[in-house]
Amino acid sequence: MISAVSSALNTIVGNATVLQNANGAGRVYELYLMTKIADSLRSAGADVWIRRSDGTKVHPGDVDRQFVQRGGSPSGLPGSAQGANGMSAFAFQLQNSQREWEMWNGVQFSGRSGAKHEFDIAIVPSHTASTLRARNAGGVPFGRPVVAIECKDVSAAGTLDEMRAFIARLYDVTALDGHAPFLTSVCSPLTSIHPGRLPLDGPHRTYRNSNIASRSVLVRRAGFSSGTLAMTGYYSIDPRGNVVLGSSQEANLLSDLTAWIVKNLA
Amino acid sequence: MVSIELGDQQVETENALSSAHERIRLNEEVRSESENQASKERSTPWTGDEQVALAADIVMTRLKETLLMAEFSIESVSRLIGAETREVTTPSNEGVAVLGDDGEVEASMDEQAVRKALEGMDQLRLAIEEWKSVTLRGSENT
Repeated sequence: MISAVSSALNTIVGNATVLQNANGAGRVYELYLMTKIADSLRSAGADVWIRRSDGTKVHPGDVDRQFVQRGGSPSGLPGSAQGANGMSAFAFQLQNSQREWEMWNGVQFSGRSGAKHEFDIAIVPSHTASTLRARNAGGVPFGRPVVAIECKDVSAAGTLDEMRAFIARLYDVTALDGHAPFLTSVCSPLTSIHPGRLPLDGPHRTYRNSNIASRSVLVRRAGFSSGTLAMTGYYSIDPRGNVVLGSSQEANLLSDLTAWIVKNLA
Repeated sequence: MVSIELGDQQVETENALSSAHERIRLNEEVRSESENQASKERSTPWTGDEQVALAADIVMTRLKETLLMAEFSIESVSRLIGAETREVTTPSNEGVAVLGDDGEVEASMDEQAVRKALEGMDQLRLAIEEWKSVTLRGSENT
């Protein structure tokens, strides 16, 4: 009986080999949300494409048309010189806009403390990505992504500690005007994300300004424990529970996030 | 099966979540005045039979959802790249590849692999139903 379950599972996992890794289902959840966001942006009129780790665009006629997703330990962005087999990104440009953005999965960002923090999904300016790729070994961006999404593909309800951890990461990667004298070794003049471009990526004056100018979302396949929402309003954390395939919560998340991106990143 | 060990947890309501979304949308800075904050997460333990049924349900539901999400992602990647225009003379790499710690491809999936995995779900459902039935019968007899 147990062997029948085991045999059936082996057949499934033998085909869907991504699920052989303990984090495989979580990776699928993250990729699913990324592709949903990409699809939603395209429906809103954006030009969306896939960019390889060497910076080239994946074309319909290419032999290699795989999307390469980061697995294993998180790290920074690989350099173009390291080849095309590293992590892919979704790139996009909104309708009637000259600005270009990239959506990353599982990239580490450096904080003011020097600690590195991974964001499951992050949207950053394309110039940040291209500058990092131009370095032989790539690099770790410093600062705050304009959209940061934490994905929790677990059945247990989210806790206040989970919320605290997300807020702490965002706090550390937020570089404000007032921090400039203390961060000259990182970049001078200071930008909200580095490598960045003033005035496009100018640092904000307060945490509140930075929280509003960016979008921070905690997405869960289950709900949030009672009492978990207490910190969300003050720190502008968008709590999204029960986001599963085809749910109304999923539709609402995509609709709200796309509207915010179209309004703020054009 | 962390959620099974935690039991039935008391969670925030959809109304509370909707209010939170609206505050974010309107950029309202709100200090929480609710008494229901920073509380210890409350839960009611599952009984043994409930744990068995829940375990069976979680395996089936999550696995199927994950495979369907993988299927959508692969289709979406294909859509974003666009229709194949080259003359097919060599097999192409399609779908999704996941890197391991060493930066090399650890696993990959394409549409065909996910379809086969989904076909295996019927066999898994039967096997799990049988396991659940025997396990629950066993607990009745003790």
